[in-house]
Amino acid sequence: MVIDAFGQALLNFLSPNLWLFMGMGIAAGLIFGIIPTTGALLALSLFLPFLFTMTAEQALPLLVAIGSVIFTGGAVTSILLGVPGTVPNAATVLDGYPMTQKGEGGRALGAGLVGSAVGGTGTAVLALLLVPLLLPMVMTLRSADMVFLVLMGICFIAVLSGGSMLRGLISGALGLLLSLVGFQQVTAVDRFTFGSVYLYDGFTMVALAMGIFAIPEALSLAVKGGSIARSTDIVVGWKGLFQGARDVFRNRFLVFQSSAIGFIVGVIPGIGALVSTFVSYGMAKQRSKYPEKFGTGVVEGVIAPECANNGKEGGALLTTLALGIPGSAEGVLILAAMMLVGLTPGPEMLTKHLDLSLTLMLVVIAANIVAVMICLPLASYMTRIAKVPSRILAPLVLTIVVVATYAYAEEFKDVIVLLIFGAVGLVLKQFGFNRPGVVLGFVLGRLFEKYLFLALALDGVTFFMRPISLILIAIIIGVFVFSPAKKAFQRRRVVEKA
Amino acid sequence: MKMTGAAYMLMIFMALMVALVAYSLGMAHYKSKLLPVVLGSAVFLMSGLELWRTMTRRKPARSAEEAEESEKKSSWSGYLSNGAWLTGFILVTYLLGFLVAMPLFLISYTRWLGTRWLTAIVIAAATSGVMYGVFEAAMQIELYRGVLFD
Repeated sequence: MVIDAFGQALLNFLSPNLWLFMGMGIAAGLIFGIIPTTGALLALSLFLPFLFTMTAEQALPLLVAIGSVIFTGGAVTSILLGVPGTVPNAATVLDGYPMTQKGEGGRALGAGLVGSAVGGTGTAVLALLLVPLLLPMVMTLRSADMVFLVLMGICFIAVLSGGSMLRGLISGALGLLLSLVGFQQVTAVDRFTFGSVYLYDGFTMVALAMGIFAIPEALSLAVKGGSIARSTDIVVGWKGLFQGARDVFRNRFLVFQSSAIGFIVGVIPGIGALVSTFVSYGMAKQRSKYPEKFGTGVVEGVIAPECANNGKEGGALLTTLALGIPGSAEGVLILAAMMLVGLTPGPEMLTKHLDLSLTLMLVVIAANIVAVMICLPLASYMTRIAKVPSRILAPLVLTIVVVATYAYAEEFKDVIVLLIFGAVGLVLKQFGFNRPGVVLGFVLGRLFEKYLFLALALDGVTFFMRPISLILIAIIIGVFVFSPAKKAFQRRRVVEKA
Repeated sequence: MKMTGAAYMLMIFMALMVALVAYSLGMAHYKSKLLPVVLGSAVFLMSGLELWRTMTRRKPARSAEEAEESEKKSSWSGYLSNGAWLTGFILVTYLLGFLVAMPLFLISYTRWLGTRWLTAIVIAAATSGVMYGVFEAAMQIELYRGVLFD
């Protein structure tokens, strides 16, 4: 079964159509990665409304390619301009920019880009190899297990992605509540529609996701104002680039260690790339013969975070595809995209659509390689994109968001819903609530309800008395115990240090 | 104890959840009301707990607190004014449609954000043209014409 699927995946992967959409994804990912303050969430949510014109084989490679290369684009701005292109690239600035200031920009860039590619491709290959091992486990999952898998995903995103645990859980529950609006398939009762035919199918996913993610980010761009990047032109020589690439292969253990950290962080939902980059930077510093030089421009300080942030994608994609639990906030939008193109997130992706899942892993590999091939010669020109002032960018993004949301279903009420959820998203962002949690709850809410009533009908109220369900319940409880314990431990360390 | 913006928001959540649970209890089938009642009650309880935590949290040093408050106030005013532009854009679109509202919004908003006239006009013309080309010509989607022109 796996071999057949792999053969089909290879055929899919070689289709020019896939390369066209993957190419679009790579271009968009690099551009949004290079422009500081935009990032993956805005890039992915902007594409959601266009997915209705695409098949799953077009839409998913496009989005997966964006997610795969966005940190590669971010590395260019971080190293050459000293401004993190995306938040997880912040660790790269620590040594990347000092190297540029010392005249070693080419070497830093070569190391960062090649490190990104090696981390990204290595972990995607590992994800591919793990599929046959995961497949038997996934095939034993039943409705009861799916109920707890969905709950686990929401709890992980809510609890582990930073901020207050309670606010994270409130956000996830609010998302689940939002998904209940509309016609309920189990009973044929319409809930919270207040007689509106428009609400019969529930809120449009595109309007809700764009409102919660894209509108607050676009308004943020306008409020911050100015151009984030400084206006210096940097010329990057091939000699330096090759030297940086050689540095990556000379530091094989560091590459392996950082990619492994990225992969593990990616597999665990909700932790995010920022943690992986700083953990791998910290470990590289700890293991270094000259830790005191970190932060002054050492090449290991560039390789470690870049391997980790791209390495995270392989792990995150595996969890997103195999279990329907997003490995990161961006994964929430990949799940939303799956629903928009008619796929059911979760084990079906490794059973019914195994070839597509394997194709997506090949896309991660190819996207990483192509992105580096584009960035190496063009990096110094690409930094000019980072200088687009937000007074131009913000109106453009807002216009695209509004028009694209309308175009998704040619329904003006979607634009009103967009505006309402834009305001909700802004308030949630300002008060430290968990926006990915809300959207994940919304995306998985209907599946959760379906599996819950199916499990109740099949196994009665003791439906959770199955080994896998009990393990999942134990993991969920573990997350709740682990998170406050970790915070208390960190607080104690800070007090002890003081 | 101090009432912050987050505290007001949590109180709004609690009030909304009371209304939601009360409304859900009136639903005909137990399968319809099960999740709304359970989730609504959970959000109510968690919001109450978080409200208590927010209000009893130790106050930061006065100067830091003032700085944080003033920073939040200035960003809120920025969000409100930019949000008003977006609301205006949607309102004009509702009345006159995208083809009129889009260039109007782009020229006036980019000018308001400090762009020069010529740049604003070029951006508005180019964006409107691209949007028309992509949606109307390529994707065959008729952009909303507005209640006055429809």
